[in-house]
Amino acid sequence: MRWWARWRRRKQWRERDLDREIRAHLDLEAEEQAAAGVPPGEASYAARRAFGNVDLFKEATREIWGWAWRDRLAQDIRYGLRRLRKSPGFTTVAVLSLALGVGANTAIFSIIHAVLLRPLPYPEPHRLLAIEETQSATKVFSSEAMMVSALHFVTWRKQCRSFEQIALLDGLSLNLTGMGEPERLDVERASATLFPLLGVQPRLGRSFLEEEDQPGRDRVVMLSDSLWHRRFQSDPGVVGRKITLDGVPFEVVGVLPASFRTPWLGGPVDLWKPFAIREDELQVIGDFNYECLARLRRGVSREQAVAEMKIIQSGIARTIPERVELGALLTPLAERMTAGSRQGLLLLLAAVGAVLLIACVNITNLLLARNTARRELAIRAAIGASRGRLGQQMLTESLILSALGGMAGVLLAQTVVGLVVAHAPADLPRIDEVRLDAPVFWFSFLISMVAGLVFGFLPAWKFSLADPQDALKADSRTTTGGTSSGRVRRLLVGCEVGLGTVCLVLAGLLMQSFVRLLRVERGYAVERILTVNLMMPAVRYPDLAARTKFLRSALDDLQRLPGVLAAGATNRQLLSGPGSNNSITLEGTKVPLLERPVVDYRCISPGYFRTFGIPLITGRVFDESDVHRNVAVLSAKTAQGLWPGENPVGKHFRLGDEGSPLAEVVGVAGDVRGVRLDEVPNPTVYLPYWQRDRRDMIIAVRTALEPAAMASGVRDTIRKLDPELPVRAFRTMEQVLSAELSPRRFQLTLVLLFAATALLLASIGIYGVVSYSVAQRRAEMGIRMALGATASDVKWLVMRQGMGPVVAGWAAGLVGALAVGRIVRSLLFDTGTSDLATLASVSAVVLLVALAACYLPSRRATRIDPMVALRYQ
Amino acid sequence: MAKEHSNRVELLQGTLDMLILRTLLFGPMHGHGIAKHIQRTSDEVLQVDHGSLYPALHRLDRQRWITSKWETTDRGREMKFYRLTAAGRKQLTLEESRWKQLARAIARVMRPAEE
Repeated sequence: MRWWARWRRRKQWRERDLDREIRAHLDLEAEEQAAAGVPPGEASYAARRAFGNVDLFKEATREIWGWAWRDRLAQDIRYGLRRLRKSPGFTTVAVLSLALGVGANTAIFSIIHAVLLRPLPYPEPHRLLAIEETQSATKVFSSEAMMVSALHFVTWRKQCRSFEQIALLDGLSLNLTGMGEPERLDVERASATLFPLLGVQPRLGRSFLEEEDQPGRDRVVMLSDSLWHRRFQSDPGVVGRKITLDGVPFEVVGVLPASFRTPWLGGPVDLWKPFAIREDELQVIGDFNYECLARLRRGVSREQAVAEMKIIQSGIARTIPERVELGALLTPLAERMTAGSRQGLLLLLAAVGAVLLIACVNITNLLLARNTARRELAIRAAIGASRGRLGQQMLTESLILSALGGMAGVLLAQTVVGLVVAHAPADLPRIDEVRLDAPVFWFSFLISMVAGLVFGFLPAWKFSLADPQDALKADSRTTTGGTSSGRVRRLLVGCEVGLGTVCLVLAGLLMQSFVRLLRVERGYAVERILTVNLMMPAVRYPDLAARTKFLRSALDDLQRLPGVLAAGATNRQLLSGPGSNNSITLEGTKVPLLERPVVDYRCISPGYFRTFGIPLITGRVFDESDVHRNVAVLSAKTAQGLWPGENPVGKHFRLGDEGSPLAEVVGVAGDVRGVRLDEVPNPTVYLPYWQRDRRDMIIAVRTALEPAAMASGVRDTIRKLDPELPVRAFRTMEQVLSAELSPRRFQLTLVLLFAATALLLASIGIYGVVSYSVAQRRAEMGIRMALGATASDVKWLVMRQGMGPVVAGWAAGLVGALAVGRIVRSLLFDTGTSDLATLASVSAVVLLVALAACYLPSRRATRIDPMVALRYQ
Repeated sequence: MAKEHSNRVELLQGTLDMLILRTLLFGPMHGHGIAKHIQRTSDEVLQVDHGSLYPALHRLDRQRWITSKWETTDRGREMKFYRLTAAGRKQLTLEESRWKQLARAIARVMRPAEE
């Protein structure tokens, strides 16, 4: 502010100097006039007359100084503030609509900024790539990009020269025991290169050594900052300590900084261990199970890396006996991390953009109406104020409005962002980094100013074109309001309705698709089912037999628990995404490995079907009498695919390669949408848990009453069998389903909210324009009624004129919605972008709301007393 | 009033600057003196509002063609005196030649009417 004070001082000095100079001039002239014989009383008057208009010349001189614009601006701001204070109603409506628009935009932009725009928190993030594999010949049922095979990774590491580092990642969980309460930890198994690749330095100790990335030497871990605080009381001497994971001792070699986030593998990671690829992981062909990251060498472009990887992949393909085309997909890491949320966020941005635009149109309309009624402006123009000057003043007023609206908007955004972050689905990456920081403030400042120019320009421009005489006359004499400004206002209403309709159609499509997803045939029940994770550590449960024994008694005990109707176990939670799949070979056929069908396999207990209400279509479920045979149940789709038109019961297949045992089909169960709710059921094979299992299993119970209340009973039952087993993550199936729906619900709620705001603003706009025109046409209405028009005639006239632009805007909006529907297509489930039911209900809502907005002022028109209206003029 | 001024001529746009510079060629002068000088030397034909000098003076000052300084007149009056600078002199020659060109051109156009 120092420059401001200095400027004021200099300005004052110059003013005084000019005053003094002019006074001296006038005195001298008066003296000379007096000497020439002018009477003393008139001499100073004569001097002034010779000088001309003192103030005008002073003003002209100040212009020369180049400060005039600052004076004018200060004056305009003062004047604008005074005018806004004088019409609190208008100011409130304008500031609030702007605050809604700017607030919504700021909130959404702050999320987009954190999730999509801000560079990843690693050095030189543009050199980071995520790698996936593609394969043309597989009959994989799902998407074409696959995770990475450990065998291929080893080849890339050896041959690919485009990468500075390349790392393989896998997620697992381990039980931490031997230091108080047992706890199941989320572990990332990562190549030793991961940390240099991401450019992260441990805050304590060191990261993994190259030689620790080999089986047998990999008994080392690095701790996350939060685990270090939580379980090790931030002990600075933790490095070198031994901890027990799954009964095996590991040495702590380092602690990572609090700011470190592992890229995308899912939720937070508690600790890291070296990947140390095992021999058996290299033997399996077609085992695409891992995430892969790479850092490009400096100066190497992604295209070069793609080309090199293509050559390496086809080299690998030649070593496989079958004909197959291997490829690799190299995606910038930031893109890969945000791929799932990009479109939804951009949709939200479009929705809030429309809200802001509607708010602007509304304020333009209010300003237009106000300016027409502003005699004072017309008078000022008539007595010689320049048009440009008046236009400038009106623009200043708009910018004051937009500044006020912008500030209110930022305050609103603060609340909105808090709410949004609290309710955001877990799959939105980096959502914890959302905050209102400098770039976000600049964004809201910018959009506020642009909004001010947008809504201020048209009124200012129109005014500077208008003839002040017309304005003066119009106020007193015209009876019909058919001026061009009325046309502009109706056009603007049409625009508002159009934009609002587009928003509502998009929201409607999302809602329709959400409802359809809720009602989709899942194939299993979710009511009154409680699930829990069990992780059986290798030390006490070394083999299948030990685990089977434990699971059998746990299921038996749970089954007997009062309030439990059924209990079952599975290796994989429903709706937990893709995983646990393998290829299938039929008895007596020889299909090349990579062309075999791939199925999901689930290792379950016989009670699983009953617990989840999955129907048995033919045959039977395996039971304890099958313990010594290899048996399986197929899903209907699998049976249909493998033996079309035949009875599958009694047929045989192998899960995996030729070495796997032959299993006999004993029954067929209904299809389930088990991977994701919005994906068609995968072909699934169910095996008894005593044939094949995993160390972490899901136990599910169907309860007679509220499932969450059963949690303690289930925990006690398991504790009684094994007090050291961590029992955690109790979730009801309804919670699982809700989490699955949460990204869609989040998106839907926000879009719906914004669309409703858009509709509200548009209806305020319609109401304003119609009531204004009713007020303007009082005399006309009076004459019509005096000449015999009935109340309903007048009402009909007002409604018809009010609804004209609405209908036009609605029609344009529908066309627009069909055009932009493409942007939401991939977000929709089982709903076309021109869904008739949606279009019809949105149309009904828009037209009804618009009718209501026209109806209220039209009633006022009917209450005009012709005598009063005519006399009033 | 209007009649009284009918034989007086409004200054052409932009010529005031030239007249001021020309007046200052004779030595430093304050605003009042400049106005009087212009009126007197034009035989009272050129009538300037004294006030209109001031924007012009400040403009010339800003262009650095003249400088200003408060000084006391012989009669003990504090007045602001303006003085021509070297740049101002150069500007004056430029404007003078331009003016002569214009005057000649106008005269050539107007001559036939006089015959």
